[in-house]
Amino acid sequence: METRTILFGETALDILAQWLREQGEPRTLDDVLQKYLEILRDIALRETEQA
Amino acid sequence: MTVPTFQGNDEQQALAAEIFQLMVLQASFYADDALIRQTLDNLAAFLAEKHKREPDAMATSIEEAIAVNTAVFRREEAEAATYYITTRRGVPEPLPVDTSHTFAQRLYEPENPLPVDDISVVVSTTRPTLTTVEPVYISDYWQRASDTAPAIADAAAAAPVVDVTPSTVSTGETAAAEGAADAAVAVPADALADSPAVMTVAGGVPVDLRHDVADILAQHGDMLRAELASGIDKDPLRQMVRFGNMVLPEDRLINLGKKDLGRIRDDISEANEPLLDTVIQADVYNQQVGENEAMRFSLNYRLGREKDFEYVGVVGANLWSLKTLPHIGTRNVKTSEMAQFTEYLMQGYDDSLQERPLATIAEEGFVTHRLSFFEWANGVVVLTAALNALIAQPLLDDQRRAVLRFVMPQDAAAEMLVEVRYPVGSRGGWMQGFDLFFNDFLIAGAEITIARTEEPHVYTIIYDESVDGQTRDVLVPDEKKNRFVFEEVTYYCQVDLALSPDQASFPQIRNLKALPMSDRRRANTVLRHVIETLGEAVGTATEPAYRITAQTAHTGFNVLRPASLPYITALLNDNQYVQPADEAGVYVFAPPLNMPDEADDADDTPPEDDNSDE
Repeated sequence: METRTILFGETALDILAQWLREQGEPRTLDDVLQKYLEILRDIALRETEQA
Repeated sequence: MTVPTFQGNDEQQALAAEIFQLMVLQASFYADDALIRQTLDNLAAFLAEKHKREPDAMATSIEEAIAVNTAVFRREEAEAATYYITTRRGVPEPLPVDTSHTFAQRLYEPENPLPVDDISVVVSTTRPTLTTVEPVYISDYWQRASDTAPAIADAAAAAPVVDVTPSTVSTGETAAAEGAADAAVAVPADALADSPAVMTVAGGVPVDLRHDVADILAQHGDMLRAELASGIDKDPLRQMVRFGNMVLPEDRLINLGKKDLGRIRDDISEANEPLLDTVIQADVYNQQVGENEAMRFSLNYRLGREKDFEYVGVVGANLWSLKTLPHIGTRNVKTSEMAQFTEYLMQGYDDSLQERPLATIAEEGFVTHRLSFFEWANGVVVLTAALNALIAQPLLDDQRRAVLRFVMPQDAAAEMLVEVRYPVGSRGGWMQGFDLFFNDFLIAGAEITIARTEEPHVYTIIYDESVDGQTRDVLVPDEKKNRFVFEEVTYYCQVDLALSPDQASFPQIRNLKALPMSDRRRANTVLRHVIETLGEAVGTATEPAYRITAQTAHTGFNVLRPASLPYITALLNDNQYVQPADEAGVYVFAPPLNMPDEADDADDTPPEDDNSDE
């Protein structure tokens, strides 16, 4: 199975934006960074298992 | 336009041609293949009058002529009349419709368009809120993919993955120890290429995502924060927008119209000073703090894109100003001149941390500063490392100034606005706007203490008044005559005498010329003038020489521009005409007789343009 390269600042920004929408109000960059790393980490670990 | 060939006898051909010309004339602005209609009655009436014939006879002639020219005309019978139809091409049929590639089809290309729930990234349902055109960035991926494929492999071999483990994350360790730890936990290059758990951060830095988020943040937090901010700003789909350190989905932005901006402008103009975003929100929208954070964000985001508004806030306090608000601080010194005067702070000659280290300042939240003559006379305070650690930092990346509020508890808690100019590149920073306070309460050399309050943009400023009144003949500027004079002053504050020149200690100091600010840019010119004025003449008429202590040079230099003692010492040591004397801290300046003014300043920074706000 082909795995994709994770580019920080580009990959999964749509998922991050969706999470931010669900928050309902602005969040700090620190909060957003924390969540973004969680999202990327989930993707990376999932693809590692599949690979 | 092509003219068709008509059939029949001569009379029929001529009549058919005349009818065709009539109908084409009627359809001058039609497309070539658009159908042109005309009734038999109209044609018969017109041609009968033209040719002086009976309409019925003319109608019969028309029918006969057209009956033999069916390649050009088509006859249609309707209830009320008989129609003849043709086109400008002379063919009575329209062109077939080309349906091989329609707009409707193109709407559904490609075969797998974005899903419907993502249509917002293609079609905005809200009015654009921006008045400026935002650039569309091309993903860095393409740049990297185009020419760095071999380089990535090389980089992987050369720069191993940083393996973040709790044992290597320690904020107390030195940089050298961290570097050693980084190198010790390298992952083989082939693992980098194969593992999907390694993400690439701009600049080619690989980060292993198999570790905890907290560990990754501890190791790479600052870099990742900056990269994420950049990624959000450069996202071609603009899914999120950022103001400072706050982020909001783009489709949650609240639109502010021209009326809103006008009301905000009026609000700030009426206050005649910069206002907090929360104050504007309350004044204009009657919303209290925390009531509508999306609105507050939208307000800041929108004002940040309006040219007549200026952000002058700091981290934790978003202040907005107008270009039309009154200037804060002295106009005696231009911004570019102050920036150059404070360069020594960025060149390693800042001695403000000798008494108290940064950590103590950060913990205790106050700084004591001794005013130089220049600072006192111009109402400015140079932003030393100690003060820079105390003062709130700018929020925006390209922000150069902020406005702070200073409370004076010893003056019935009166307040003043002070503008902070942050250091940029090789240029130092300063604060301006203390003119009245300094002139009313203090003299040069006074010790002031600046302290933080609970609000990030509000500070207190006090002076040590636990001393009895002192009366001295101190140096003051005589601005009318553009020189310095001694004046008897009684003051009630603690003073550093080294920075407070008076008649008893420095009787010659009033002979210092109040050099134009542009001349004061050249540090060695100022130093030479100070030495020749305050130094002890030890030479002869043909071989002049002056003996001076670094401390005296420091006192005199600070009358004309701010400087630290280490900076003065460095200037003395670097001057080719100055030699150290036998006694420590004493120098002898022996200039050649014909030394030009600028000869000793060849390496000084040339004057630069002023800021537009001056």
